[in-house]
Amino acid sequence: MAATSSDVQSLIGQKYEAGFITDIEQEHLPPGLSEDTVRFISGKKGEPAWLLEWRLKAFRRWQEMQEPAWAHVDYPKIDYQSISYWAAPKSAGDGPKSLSEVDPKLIETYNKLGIPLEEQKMLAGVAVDVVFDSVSVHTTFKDKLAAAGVIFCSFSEAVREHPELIRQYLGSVVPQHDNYFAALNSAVFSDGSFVYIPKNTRCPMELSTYFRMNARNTGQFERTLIVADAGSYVSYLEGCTAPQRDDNQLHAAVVELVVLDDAEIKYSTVQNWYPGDEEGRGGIYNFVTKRADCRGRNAKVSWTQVETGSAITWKYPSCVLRGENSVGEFYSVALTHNRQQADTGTKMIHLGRNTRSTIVSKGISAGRGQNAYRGLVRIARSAEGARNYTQCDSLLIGDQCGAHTFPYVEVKNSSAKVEHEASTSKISEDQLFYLRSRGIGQEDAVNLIVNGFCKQVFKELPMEFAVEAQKLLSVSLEGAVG
Amino acid sequence: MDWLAALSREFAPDATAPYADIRQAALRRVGARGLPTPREEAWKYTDLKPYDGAGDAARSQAQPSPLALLETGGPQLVFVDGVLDAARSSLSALPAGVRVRTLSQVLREEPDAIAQAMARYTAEDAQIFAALNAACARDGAVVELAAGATLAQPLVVAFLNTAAATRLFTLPLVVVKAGAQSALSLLELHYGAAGATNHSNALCDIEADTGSRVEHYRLQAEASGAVHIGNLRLGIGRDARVASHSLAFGGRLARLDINAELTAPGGEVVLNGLFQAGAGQHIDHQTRIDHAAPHTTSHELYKGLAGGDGRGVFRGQVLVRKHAQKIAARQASHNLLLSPLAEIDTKPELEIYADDVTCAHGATVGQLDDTALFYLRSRGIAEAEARALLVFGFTQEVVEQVAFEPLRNWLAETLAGSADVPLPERVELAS
Repeated sequence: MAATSSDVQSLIGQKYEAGFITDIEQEHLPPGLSEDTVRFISGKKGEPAWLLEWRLKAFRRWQEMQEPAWAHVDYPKIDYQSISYWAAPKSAGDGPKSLSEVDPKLIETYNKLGIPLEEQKMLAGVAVDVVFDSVSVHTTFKDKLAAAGVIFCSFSEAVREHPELIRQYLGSVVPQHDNYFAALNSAVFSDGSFVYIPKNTRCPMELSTYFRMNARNTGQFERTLIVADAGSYVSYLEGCTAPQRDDNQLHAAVVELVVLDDAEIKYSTVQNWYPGDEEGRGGIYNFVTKRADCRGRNAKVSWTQVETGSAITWKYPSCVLRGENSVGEFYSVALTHNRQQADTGTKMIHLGRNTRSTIVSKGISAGRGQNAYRGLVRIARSAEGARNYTQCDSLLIGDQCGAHTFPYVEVKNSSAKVEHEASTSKISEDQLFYLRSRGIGQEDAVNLIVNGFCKQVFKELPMEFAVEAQKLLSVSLEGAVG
Repeated sequence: MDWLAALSREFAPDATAPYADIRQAALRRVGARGLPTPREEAWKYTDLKPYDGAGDAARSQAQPSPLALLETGGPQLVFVDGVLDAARSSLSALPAGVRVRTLSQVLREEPDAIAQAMARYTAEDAQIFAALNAACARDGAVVELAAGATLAQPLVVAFLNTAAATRLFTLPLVVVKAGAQSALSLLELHYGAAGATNHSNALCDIEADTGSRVEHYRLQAEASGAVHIGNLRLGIGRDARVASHSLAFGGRLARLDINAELTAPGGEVVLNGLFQAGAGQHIDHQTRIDHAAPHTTSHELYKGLAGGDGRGVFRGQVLVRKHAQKIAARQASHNLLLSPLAEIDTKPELEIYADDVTCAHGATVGQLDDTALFYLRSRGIAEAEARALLVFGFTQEVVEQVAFEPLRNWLAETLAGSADVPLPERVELAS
């Protein structure tokens, strides 16, 4: 991007001065970000006026904000004017025509992960004309959900079909001006998922974005809103173990969870966006704001994440424990290899009485990766009897990597108990030697040790996800020891 | 009150004295920078507003007096309100190879003796209060040990503040140079009498050369109306071992920054701390251990007590630099909240760029164990006494590591005395 931002802005201004919104054939918006961009996106999606106002308010706040610099990551300055903020869903003809056109390295990875051929095509963005399994799965599960009264649809659809719910909950957990990237997302979000679980309902199946096929290519500024009404339960899976083809470098998603009385949300993420090559060229910037608000009594939220992809990860899935006896959990495995950087962790804000939280974070650094845990445990004066247990361990593989821990513990209530422990060490020579002496190859031995290290987190993942996550870790660590 | 104007009026660096140029430049930089705000990471939990105002003299109470520690007959330098008290100072018993002078004497006779420290703290990136001290300090102590010299009896450097002080600010500076294979024990004492509202800004720089052994105790017992800000730097050379114990009880606002630099293989540092923040007090410790060389070791243990509406803050950074392999670092921060309005903020940090390391930290914030309390009460011990016993026990892990006996005894008495409880006698278990 050679032109300066003001050049681009004037360019956009010229081009769209007169009623560009009628230009419905437009597939891509040229790079640039202004109020007009926001209006264009909103118009393109046929949104109601209140939502456009909401976006504009976010955009105005964003313009006044500074990009945060406190994270332990290093990347060239992002030119927000060089990004295109609208691309219509890709038509079938856009992608590669067959798997033979796809990067062979990607195919190799798919094979190692044991992904069936048809799914490989889908993940690689190959146009699929035959109806394959997951499509029929898709229809049957839609019926089942409808019978239970569960709403699970794309965000745009929810804005059309359930505006009252969106209006009530949108931005109520992560306000528009919460942080720089959340404000950007609020202004230009493309699409995402909406889930509503009615009262006293146990969602009959695990919901997965992987199967939500009606909203493809919305990854860049995705917005997820899940509302679990009183007494309900849902397990939500996000992402997928297979590396996905993606042309967008900046990802700034927002996830909001609302948990009412006695409800529970289990949110599992496997993130494996393109991490860049060995020298750190390319790769996704994953700047995500995720927050759960336990508004009701006995509400429970469990975040589980396996972060192996992205050049830079900046995310802190948090829990606001407002309701009495509410519970927050955070289980995380973050792996950085080559030149990946991760600054991730969680926030547990205890406001209600007898609220409890558990944090288990496992960081693995290999190659030249930099991995930081950053977490906050705050016990407010009102949180009588609150309890937190935090454990964060780091494993170092190779002498060029880094592992960092920045926990913040703030306690204002004398009946609270907060424990934090952390350790950092390299992979044990003794364990390696023992495994080697049993005839296990170096690489397999490392995988075994790493999997053991992460076991506490993997056991929180839904079963099939856990199996895939283990495989993913070993693939991601290839060549780390040697 | 404009603290900078007041400070400049009373302590502006003398244009004809040594280091005039760099001291004036440092003072100008501090003035241009202004006080740090809670938006800065290192000051996140400490608001410096109280710095810009005098405390209420009528309500400024004294901590239990540690003045008995000046009666041990060992070598000592005593400053009252920033001025040397020659009558109470005594340096007659110093062994060969140990040289102790006042800062004002060194500035007159041999300013080069503190050239390194001056350069370090007047540098552009120096911490603001360290720079302020280096720019304005008038007196303090310069301690030099020749190679192989040993000072067996601890040297006491005391800074006493009274209600009669004519100046609000005191800026004590202590520079210690321990030569190769030397051994030194040093007590840095800060005490304020009832009614004192002094603003102390203390700086201590300890350089431990190859194979030396340094025990440093820092007892901060300022009056409850005082502001005390301290900086301590420990430079630890090859195979040297430095242990520093920070014991902080006083001040409405107290802050200590410790920087330990392990610059050569074999170096070892021990940082122990004990603080008690009572009603109206804010006590903040910021420690940073820099493992800049391979084969270095650090142990850190901080115990904090917060009662009344007191607030205790701890931040412990451990940095392991690239290529600094074979590192062992342990850090623990344990805290007790003794009243509903008390607050503890703790932040243990690890920043590691090498792989052959074993580093661990732990932090806890809690209250007295109910079952232990119940046990004591079931044995007929009154609740207040039982609580005091448990608090006393909590602090012992730090107190026991104090090798200087009069200080250890003073601590035990003070900690037991703060709850009006007789000191427990050593109980011999029947065999």
